[in-house]
Order: sequence, then C-alpha cells, then structure tokens
Amino acid sequence: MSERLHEQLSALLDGELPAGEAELLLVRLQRDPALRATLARYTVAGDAIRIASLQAAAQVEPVASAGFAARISAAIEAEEQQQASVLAGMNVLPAGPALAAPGLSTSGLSTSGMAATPRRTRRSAVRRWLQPLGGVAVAAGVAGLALMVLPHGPVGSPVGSQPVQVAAAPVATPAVVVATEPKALLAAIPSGVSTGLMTGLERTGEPVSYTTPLSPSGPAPTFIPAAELASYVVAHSEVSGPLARRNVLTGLAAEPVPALAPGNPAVVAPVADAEPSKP
Amino acid sequence: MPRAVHRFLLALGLALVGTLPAAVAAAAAPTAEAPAGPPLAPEELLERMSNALVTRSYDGEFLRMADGRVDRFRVVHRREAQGFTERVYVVAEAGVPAREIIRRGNELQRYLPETREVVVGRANATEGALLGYLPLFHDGHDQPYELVAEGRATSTTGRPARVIQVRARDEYRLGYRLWVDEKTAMPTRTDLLDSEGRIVEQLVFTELRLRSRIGDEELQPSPAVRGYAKVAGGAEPLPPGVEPLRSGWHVAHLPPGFRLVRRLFKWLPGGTEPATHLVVTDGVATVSVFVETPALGRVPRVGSGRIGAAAAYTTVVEGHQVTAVGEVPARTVEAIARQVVPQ
Repeated sequence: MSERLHEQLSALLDGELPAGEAELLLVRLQRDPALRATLARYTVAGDAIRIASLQAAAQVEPVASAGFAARISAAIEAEEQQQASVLAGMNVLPAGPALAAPGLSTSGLSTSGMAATPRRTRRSAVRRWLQPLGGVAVAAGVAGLALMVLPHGPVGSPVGSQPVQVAAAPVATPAVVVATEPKALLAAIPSGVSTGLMTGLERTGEPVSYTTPLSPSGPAPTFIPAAELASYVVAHSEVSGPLARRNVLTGLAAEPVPALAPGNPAVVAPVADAEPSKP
Repeated sequence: MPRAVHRFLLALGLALVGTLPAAVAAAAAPTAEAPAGPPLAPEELLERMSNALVTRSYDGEFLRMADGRVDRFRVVHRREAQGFTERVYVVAEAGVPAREIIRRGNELQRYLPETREVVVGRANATEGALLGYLPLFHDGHDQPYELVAEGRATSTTGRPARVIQVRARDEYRLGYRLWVDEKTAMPTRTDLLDSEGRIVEQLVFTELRLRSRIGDEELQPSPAVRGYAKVAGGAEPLPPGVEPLRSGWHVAHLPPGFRLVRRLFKWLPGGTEPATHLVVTDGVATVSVFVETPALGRVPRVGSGRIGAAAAYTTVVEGHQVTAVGEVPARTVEAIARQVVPQ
C-alpha cells in the first residue's frame, strides 16, 4: 500500500480528510476488502495506544490532541519490521495479548515480535506517545493483521478469505505495559468477545486452534443457530435504546449468516430439571 | 452531578426505540437546574444527544468496525408523528444486492441477498414505550455507569465534537465513548467499550446531515433487493388479552443495577405457543429474556451466540427454552438466563 494511502486512511480517522478525497477513499474502501481490513487495523492500533496512554498518564486530555495519524504512522513503521504478512497469505501467530486488539481476545500471548519499539519515529510527539508503549502498538498491529483474515467480504459473495490459523502460541512474557500477568489479562477478557471470534472462525469451516478461557466451567456450549439468533436479536432490538439499537441492527446487517453445521445437532444440556418437549 | 447523571441515563434509556414520541422523550428529562456556563457538562450534552436521536431526521454514512472487519453503511432516518421510518443498508456498488434493514412503524424488514428473502418481524404497538417502567437512579456510587468528559475533537465528519465516555463500572455491562457533535448533538462516532475500556465495536460517521424533509423514495429498498420472498422472523404481536398458559416467569436474581421492567407476550418464529418476553434494563443497556415452550421436534439446548454487539445465552428451565439476549457482555446474558424461574 502506498504511503499516500496510509496518509489518507489516517486523515480519515482524524477527521482531516477533505470531502472530495474522503468520497474517493470510501469508494475504494467499498471495493477493496484489503483496504477495509487495513483501516480496521489502524483503528484498533491507534485506540489501543491511546487507551494505554491514558491509563499510563492518568490524564484524559489527549483525546482532542492525540494526533492519531501520527501514531498510526509510527505504528505502521514499527509493524513493517514484522515478518508476518497475512495479506501475503501466510499464517500468523497473533503477537499481542488481547488487550491490544478488541475482537482478538482469544489470541495467545506469543513470543514473536514483542516490543519492537519503533526504530525511528517521524515526530517527537509520536516518540513521546509510543515510547512506553511500543509493545502495544506492535501487538495491536500484528494482532490486527491476524484479525484481517477472519472471513468477511462483500455481502452475498462466498467467503473468500485465506485459510486462517490463529495458532495458540506458547505463553511468553506479555509485552503490554498495562498488563500485569497473562492470567489476569485473560481472566479480564469478557467471554462474549471470545464467543464472537469463535463464531467467526467457525464460519470458515477451517480448522482453527486457539487457547482461550471461553467458559469458566462445564463443557463447551453449542452455538445458537444463526437464523434463530437473528430472530431473537430482532425481537430484542424493539426494546433497545436508540444507541444500542444501531449497534444491534448494524451487527445483524454486517454479519453474514454462518453456515450451520450439518444437521446442527443441538446439544442437550445436563440440566437437571430439563424435560423433553412434549409430543 | 449525580442527579444530572441520572437524568442522562434516564433520558438515554427512555428514548427507547423511535416509537416514543418526541414530546415524551422531552418530558422524560426532568427540567432541573442547568449546569452553569460553557462548556456544557457531559450529562447535558448526552441529554441533548438522547433528544436529538429521537427528534431528528437525518441521513448519513458510517463505517462499522468490529471483529477486524469494516463495513460501510448508509442510513436514512425519518422522524414521523408516530415513531420513525429508518433504512440502514450496506453500501454496495450499483446493482449489487446488499443487506438492508428497513424499520417502518412496528415492522422490521431484513433483506438478505444470500437467500433472496426479506425477513419480517413485528413489535407490539406500545413496545418501544417503556416509560414508567424504567428504574429510577439514585445518588451514590452504586450507579452502574460513570460519565467522563474527555475533551474536544474533530470528528470524522470534519466537525467539532465533544468526547464523552459513559463508563461501565463493572463487567456486567458495556460502556460508550461518544463523539457528540457540538452543534447538532448527534453522535458522530460511537465506540462500544468493555468494562476495561477496550473497544468492542465502533460506528464512525463519515457523513451526517440533518434533513428537514425526506421523501418516501429514499426509504424504499434498493432495486437490487426488491421482490424478495417474505418470510416471518423476529416476532409477531399477540391479540390483546392472549397470554401463555404459564406466564409468571421472572428472574430470581439479577446482576447489580438491572431491573425487570416489563413482561410482554408474543409469537416467536416456529413457536407453538405464545412466548414470554421479559425486559430487563440498567437504564442504558437492555436485555430481553424469551421463554418459549419448545416447538415440536425442537430439541432443548444450552448454548450461546453473538451477533455484533448483542450477546445471547440459551438454556432450559422446567422444559422451557429460556434465551437472554442483549447488548451486554456474554456473562450478563448467561447470568440472567440461568436465574429465570416460573412463578
């Protein structure tokens, strides 16, 4: 991807892209799944940095002056040092603890690419932002890369992603400054995020492996069939507030209906008081 | 400050769905003391936002970013005397069918190109108006959310915005970081956050225009998806007075801050009997609990699922399928579903 495109994406997220350019970029986004994935990655990376910074500095001021674009540039630069290239179709070991990448909470803590502090940053402000947080930036970037290959694509078209293998890397030293302990970090991850990722992976039909504390106890639950789930969500959306409703409905519109497992055998729960349905 | 927070929470919660008339929404926000001087306090901004969401007509374009993917949406929202009509669709090239959702009155249509179907569900006429059933928020640190002003920013629509965080105080709910347009009070960017502040989902407007008039033609499905076969999905209202045989279901123990505010009855797809729909809320987030008599041939199950921001958990209670779904973490829907009991 060209430097120019990097800048445009960054400017878009900073709200600094002129209207004409923004429109052109949106058209490109519409046509180019890789570009959409890149944008998602930037966003995740930038916000991970900002949140970590806020926690580190215990201040809230930076929102307005965060210089998101500058941070993204730096994150990209650091990321370019990474060997992994999902876009090239290679398998990727998620390199970062989940903290850095919402939606990738299931990634293991890996040994690869940890804390590669940006070799050179373009602006001193960027250095200030990133110095204590290089690990976060890199982790977010690489984790984002792994996320990119989750199945998605133009609606109505077959899922055409590369086979994805989110491998469970051996747990190593966590690279995120905010994290205290891998276990604590994982424990803090809401299982809903994990569930979502699993649902996404399940859709590919590809074998996947990951380590994640999905459910604190008991056997792995089954998944509610997509069509049924959608019905419940629609019925629920009637009583949601307007903000949440938008989240809920766009989720419905964005998610391709996952293919159900053949026969979709429902797992009968070991619930003591469960009765079979009446004939 | 605490009282103002309550007003916001109340307003946000009360602005339920669009069927709630603007007047009601306005009345829902008590006319209490105005925070002194500029800049506006976050609670006042959020109150204005809640109001704007249910009183404005607008169209715009936004990106949804979640799970490592980006989707581009267009929305057309027309305020009407009774509720609203809204069309939300995935932006696709001309002639290419893409998913659309059209909400018209109490009917929700989902256009699904992959199956060439339009799935139609309906709500009870009064369903959106939970006025009077919402919890009152009390002063003190036991509030489930905390408001934090995070300063000003230029939003992706290129306009000045205030950034406000509605922070979840525990892991049973999600929070928001909101970019609220300084002039229009419309939210131009919404980040959904977990209780640790991690982003779960982002809706980022790249364009948002307030409109004084929106024609019917803008609210029609795109030609590429017209003519799809209609199928039932979601729910159907029951005739007045009809209830399930066993209708006293309730939740024995709710997560902190949540209250059961309503008990509704409706048909769910495939149902052989009316289902009970319990509505649980903490003032901002809402969880629905559906209690169904299992349909013939449908095996009871325990399981979970997620669509976008909505998590679901289903289990079996005394032969009934109990499903909780809401824009909350998975642990919350599970905790609620597991506590459902017949009366």
